[in-house]
Amino acid sequence: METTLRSSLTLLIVCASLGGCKAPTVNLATSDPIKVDINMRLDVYQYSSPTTKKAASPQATPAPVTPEARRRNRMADIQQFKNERLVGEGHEGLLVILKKPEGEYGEYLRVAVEEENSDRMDLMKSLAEGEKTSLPEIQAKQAELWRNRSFKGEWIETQTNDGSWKWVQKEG
Amino acid sequence: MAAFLAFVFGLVGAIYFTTRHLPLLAKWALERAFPGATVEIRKLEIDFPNRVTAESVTLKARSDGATLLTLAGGSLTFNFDDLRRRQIGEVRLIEPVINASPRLLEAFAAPPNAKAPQKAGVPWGVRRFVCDYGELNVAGYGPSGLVIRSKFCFDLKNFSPATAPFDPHELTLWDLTAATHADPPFLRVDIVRANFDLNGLIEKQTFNALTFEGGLLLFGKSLREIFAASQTPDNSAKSSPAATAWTAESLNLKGIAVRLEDERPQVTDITFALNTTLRNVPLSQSASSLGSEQQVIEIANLNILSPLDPFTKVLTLDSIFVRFTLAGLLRREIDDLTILGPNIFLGEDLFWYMDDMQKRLGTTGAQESGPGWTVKNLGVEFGRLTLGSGGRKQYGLPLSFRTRAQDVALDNLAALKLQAVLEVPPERFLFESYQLEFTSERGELRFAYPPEKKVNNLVGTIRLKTIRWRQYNAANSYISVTFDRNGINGLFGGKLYRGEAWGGFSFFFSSESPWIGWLSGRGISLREVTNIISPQNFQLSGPLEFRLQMDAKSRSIERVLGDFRATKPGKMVIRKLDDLLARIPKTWNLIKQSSTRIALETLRDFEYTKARGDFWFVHSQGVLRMQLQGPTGSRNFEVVLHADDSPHGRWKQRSALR
Repeated sequence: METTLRSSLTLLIVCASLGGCKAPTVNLATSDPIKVDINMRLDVYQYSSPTTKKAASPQATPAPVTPEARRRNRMADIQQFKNERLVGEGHEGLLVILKKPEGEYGEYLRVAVEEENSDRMDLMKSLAEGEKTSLPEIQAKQAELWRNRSFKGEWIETQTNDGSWKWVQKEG
Repeated sequence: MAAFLAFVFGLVGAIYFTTRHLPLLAKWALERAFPGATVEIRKLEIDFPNRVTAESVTLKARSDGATLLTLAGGSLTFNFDDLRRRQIGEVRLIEPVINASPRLLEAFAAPPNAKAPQKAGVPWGVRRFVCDYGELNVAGYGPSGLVIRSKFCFDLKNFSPATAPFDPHELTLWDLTAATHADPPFLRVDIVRANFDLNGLIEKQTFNALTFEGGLLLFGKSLREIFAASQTPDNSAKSSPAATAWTAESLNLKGIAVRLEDERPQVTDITFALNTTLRNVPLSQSASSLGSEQQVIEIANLNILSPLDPFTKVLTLDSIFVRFTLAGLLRREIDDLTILGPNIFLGEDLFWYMDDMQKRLGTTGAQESGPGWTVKNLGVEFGRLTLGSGGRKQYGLPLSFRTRAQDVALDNLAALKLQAVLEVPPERFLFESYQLEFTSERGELRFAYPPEKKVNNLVGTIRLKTIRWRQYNAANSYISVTFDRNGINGLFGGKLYRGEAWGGFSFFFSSESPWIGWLSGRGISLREVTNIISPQNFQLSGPLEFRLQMDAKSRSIERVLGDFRATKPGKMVIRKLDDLLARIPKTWNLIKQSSTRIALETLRDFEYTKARGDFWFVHSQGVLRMQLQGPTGSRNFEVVLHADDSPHGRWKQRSALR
């Protein structure tokens, strides 16, 4: 009887001791917040009418017939070249390749610049005829206009005091 | 019987004496008529029974013997009944050529040695005094040796001061010219009518009216010399007492064209009509009276065109009111010049015009032709500025202006030096095609002509109460515009969504009206901006700093390029995703629903510490990139905008390269 009582008292003390302690926790959180990196590209297509949706297919698009239209279609590529500082506006009113990338993209750039300059020449010849002035004069005026219209950081060819031309990045 | 015989002999003797000494008698009679002159008659004959003809009659001044008048010839018809009544039947001057001295009026003055006025008795009359055609030449008038030529005629009835002193008479002159010795006539008058009566003419030395109709007055070198000579004290005091006494009760000028001559080559003279009436003008002072009478002319719808393109205007003027006096014109002064509704076409043609004028006139032309023109008061009202783009395209800049200036030197447009302040009144401006609207406060445009080196020609700062471009609003703004040979340059700035923005633009004078612009801002509230751009769908917070450049032609923006960053931490909320959250299918299991919700909420809300991005667009295609970094990771977006009519392009693959 005395032994039973002692055992019960011991169990009670142990239970009381255990009851005073914190319950064990399982930590599911991280020491730093969870980082989620999201990269998302969203392509937004604009269709002015349902019929032009088909035109979005490169195969279905007829080649533009006027230099202005061809230039307009090419303009985003040219801007990309300018953003990458691969081309600049020369003093004859034409684009000049300053750095040609290797490989297919370099060839793509060469062809695009060649076509752009061909269209620009057509337009400048037309202007010269219309204004009854010489082509070099028109080229000089157009070059000045291109220089004026260039964005900060884009390459332009400017004239130095001794009359020679040099490439500089346009300042704002 | 003896008495009768004596009478007959006396009469015969008298007739004999008269016929033998007719020139002496005529001389005596004429010298009584012209007491200030001596008379010389070369030949005088009687054509019996009642006609006397004369040749070469000369009147000379008694004082110094100067020739006052020469008369080539004439005739006189009489009868004894008329003579008995102290009257002559008819005096007819047959194609007389009168070479008169400017001192002719001295002939009517008393002789210098006369002790007392002679009693004239009853004056003789003429029943008809007639001349069908005559010529009058007056030479050596005034210090500049003025030569006046005219043709004349008259037919005067009852020309009798005794019996018909108040009968009106008229003398008509035509083809009157006035010139100095060396130069062509500066004055041509089609017709001059002198109306008078004998009482006024003799007693008061007054013409009832002098009327000048039609003709041309040249304001040039000759008139200026005459004016300058008459201004010298010696000459201004020279007019004789006899001359100063004559007056005209009414001096009328009708339709006299006045032409302002400019001797320089290729400079257009200015011509205007003169119509005026002066009352009670002393003839000796008629020039000065006429000269001091203010005149007003209006010139309407004046267009100045480009020298290179006759279809392109550089300046149009709805109305010009010019107030001046003729004396002022001789001094090259204009009292008041009011220009209504001028429209300045700001374009390269304006500069071509200026260059052209400079080349044609040179810089010495103005000096050679004397002092420049001045305008005492210059006023401009309802002025407008229009942007010329090169070529014939023009774009409205309905910025009105007005100005007032004093003592403006205005020789000609090329030599004009004008520092004008064009006042821009407060106004609301709406450019619908640009979706731009602003309300200006009172401002000034300072216009310098010609443009000086390194100084912009047109400088103005206008404060703007409000600006609205599309759905964006700014306040407390300003715009400053300069205008030079290459185009129009502007700077602007203002408060924008709790921050400030500033920018500029250059509008180039070229075909298709190209222009570039740039805009920067800082401290802009991203929350307010994104609420406007994409209300309810997408929101960023925090202050924004940005820069953008654009390249455009006319109203079409061809290229835009820019970058931006948030200068303080903020939060991105894509509220559009709430729609998706609300539509998560309930049929999905809980794990799928929860994971989808967590993914969408992770994407929807993001607190960032750094945010930056850039963009470029060409026409309606391009790339927008935005990179957000925060404690919970990063969000990198790339939006590629494709145009349906331009499917080609490698840029779409290489957009991340920038």
